[in-house]
Amino acid sequence: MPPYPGEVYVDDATVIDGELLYRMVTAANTKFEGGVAVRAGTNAFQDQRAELLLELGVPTVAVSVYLESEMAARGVVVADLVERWGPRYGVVSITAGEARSKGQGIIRWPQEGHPEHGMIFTLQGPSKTRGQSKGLAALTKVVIAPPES
Amino acid sequence: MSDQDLRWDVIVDQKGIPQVVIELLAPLVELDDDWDGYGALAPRAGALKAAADVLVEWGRSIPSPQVMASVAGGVLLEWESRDVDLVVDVGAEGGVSVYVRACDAESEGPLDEHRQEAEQALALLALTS
Repeated sequence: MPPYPGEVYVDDATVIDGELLYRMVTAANTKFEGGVAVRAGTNAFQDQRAELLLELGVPTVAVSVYLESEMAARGVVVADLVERWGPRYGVVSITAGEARSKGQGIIRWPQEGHPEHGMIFTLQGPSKTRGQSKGLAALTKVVIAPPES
Repeated sequence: MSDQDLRWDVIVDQKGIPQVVIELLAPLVELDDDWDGYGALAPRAGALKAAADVLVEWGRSIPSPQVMASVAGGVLLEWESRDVDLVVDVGAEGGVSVYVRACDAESEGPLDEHRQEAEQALALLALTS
């Protein structure tokens, strides 16, 4: 059992509430209505599996995102994320303030080749609750829709 | 027989599973591990079977849910309206938990402990759908 995220990560106050956070999605974690992508699926905001932590090089569970200000500083735009990830991916956004309104913290976590990377982590408990995942997903906006398959 | 075929057979071989339930779950059978690019597991047989059981138990009168894979090899069934949210989280081994928001109250935990709230939420959703 990994440590509670709120005991390991600290909400980064330099990530302002208006900061846009981008999450990569596929058709399988996007909600479509009438063939139109309307928001992320609840499953897009479930914390990753604890079994992956060592491989990912992180101490405990969270959800990966890209920080808009870090992207802008490097001249990276949203379309570049899709270019990196591949054609089956799309991008949804949520602001840091919206994430915080659902009991989350934000941390910058640069990775090799992905200096804009950060994470959304739950401030309390071992992982996001179902209600938190649902609430986060409901606040997202679709920036680039993934192809519906 | 591939792993996907095996999972699918678990559902379609169950007697009395309505075609509508099979069709709801069918897209999940197409998913492979890492379907989200973040290392998620494809839905496991136990989860698909338990999700089918939940849908059959609650019957034909309920609105159709959004059906999704969960990152840990399970299945999520989700209903939502302005006033009601219901998320049924079926674990990879078939354990069922729920999240319910209705009438400005929230609850979350094992289905056995929150069945009444879940069924009340479904009734409200059926009324407004």
